[in-house]
Amino acid sequence: MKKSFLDMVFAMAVFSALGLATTTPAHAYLDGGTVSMALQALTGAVASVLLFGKLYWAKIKSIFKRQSD
Amino acid sequence: MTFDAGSFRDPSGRVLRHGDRVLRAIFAAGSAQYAAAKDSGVLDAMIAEGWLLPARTLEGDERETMAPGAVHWLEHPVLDFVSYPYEWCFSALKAAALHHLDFHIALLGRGFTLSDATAYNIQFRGTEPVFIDHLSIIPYEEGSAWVGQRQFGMQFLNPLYLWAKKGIAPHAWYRGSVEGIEPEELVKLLGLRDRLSFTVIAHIVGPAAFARRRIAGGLEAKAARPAYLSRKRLLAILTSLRDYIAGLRLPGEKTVWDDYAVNNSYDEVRREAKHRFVAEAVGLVAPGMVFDIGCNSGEFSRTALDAGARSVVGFDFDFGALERAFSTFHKAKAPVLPLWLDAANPSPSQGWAGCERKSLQERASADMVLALAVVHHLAIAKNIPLDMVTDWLMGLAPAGVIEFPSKSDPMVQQLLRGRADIFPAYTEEAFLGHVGTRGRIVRQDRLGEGGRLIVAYDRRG
Repeated sequence: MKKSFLDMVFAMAVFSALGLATTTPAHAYLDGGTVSMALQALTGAVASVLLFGKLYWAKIKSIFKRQSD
Repeated sequence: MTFDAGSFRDPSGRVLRHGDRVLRAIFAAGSAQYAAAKDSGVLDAMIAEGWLLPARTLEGDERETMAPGAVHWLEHPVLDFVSYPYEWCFSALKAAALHHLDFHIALLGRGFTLSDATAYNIQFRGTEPVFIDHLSIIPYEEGSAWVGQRQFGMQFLNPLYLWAKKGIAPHAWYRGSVEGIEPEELVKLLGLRDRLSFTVIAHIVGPAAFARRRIAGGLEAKAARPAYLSRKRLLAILTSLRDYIAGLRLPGEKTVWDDYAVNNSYDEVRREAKHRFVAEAVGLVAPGMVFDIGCNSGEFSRTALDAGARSVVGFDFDFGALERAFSTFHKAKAPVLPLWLDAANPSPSQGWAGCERKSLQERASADMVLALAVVHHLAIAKNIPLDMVTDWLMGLAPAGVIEFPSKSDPMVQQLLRGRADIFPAYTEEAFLGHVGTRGRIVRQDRLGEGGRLIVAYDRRG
């Protein structure tokens, strides 16, 4: 429950950002193959937060686990 | 000397076959990056840890004529078999994806990164993935993007996603496109629930939307604002993707032959006889690499190894059996690689100029082939004439063992059920004739009283 809620918040954040992400310089042949730097920067930011949250959550859990042992 | 037909996209170097050696020429375009990687010690460290295929630097310039303009030369150990991602089972594709990400993360820790993310740069030694392209390793520039993101999605994440979340094995699609599954296509299969995942948005929905916008924008597209991706955030992307892929599982379906190995019509005596026959035949040939066609969960691959084969590449049509084989040999750290194969439609020669990815036939460098309980699936179930089946199997290796279940066999009876018997030429006599005209029958035996015919052949004189 908690995870899917978080995912949804981030989904909305990324989706709204997607609208802002502009494209890379145009070339004569367009393959859609280049990555979006703006999208990656945003993905990186969200992934950092998620990872931090994950580690933090693991820490909290381990404290409670120790107490209950 | 020939250039490898699959090595030309990167101007920094090319792979060459020189006799039975594998060499890599490094050109001026890649020489500075290679020198940086070599001098930093990162290549040797990655080789020492088993992440990267070993490489020996060659001195001297007598090879200059082989690839004019080459600045450096490397020599690599020859892999027993080169396999392609559209031949891998789920666990193999997943192991390759994780290997790629772990390798990239390890490189970033040493100030290097990868210039692409193609799955064809991963090969297997047994069930262990190894990275093979030394020229993809380039110095990392702080703030730069992950250029391989789209390729990683197409060649690793998207096929794995399709398999794990939609229950669709990606092989037909992957093999057809060669470059993998585009996010623009995959996204059409996603429901709203599927999209409520950070990974799906960041690596499938996002890139799909970006590509659509970019193509729609055409030449009029606006220039990008400069963006900066810190190393910490790049690592976070790779790590979160790694965690996501590590958590992917196959849907728990039972496949057709899943319990074949423990639940078929064989009794123990016949099974023992078959193991003995295979072990003795392998012992006589003393092969390097063995092909095990229809390997199931690898029971006889194991017998071939125990009888002295250096390595085995097993092939099967059934994903459940391949998963079990992969898991068994991974745990045992045994040199057996189970691969997916539809023997009636083996991997073709394809890609650029029709030869970038080689057909199974072209890669069939096995010293010996095992074809146990295979013939009837091709001759009866697929209507392939017995002489053509024999031809194909014996063409895979100069020596081998072929089992022939006759029409009275319960397994053949099952295949014949509900259809007309249009196979008057499917007889033991005919089979022995076909083998005999294509090679020498070294031994023939019967597996238990009234059991299946089994034959060992040798085409070499």
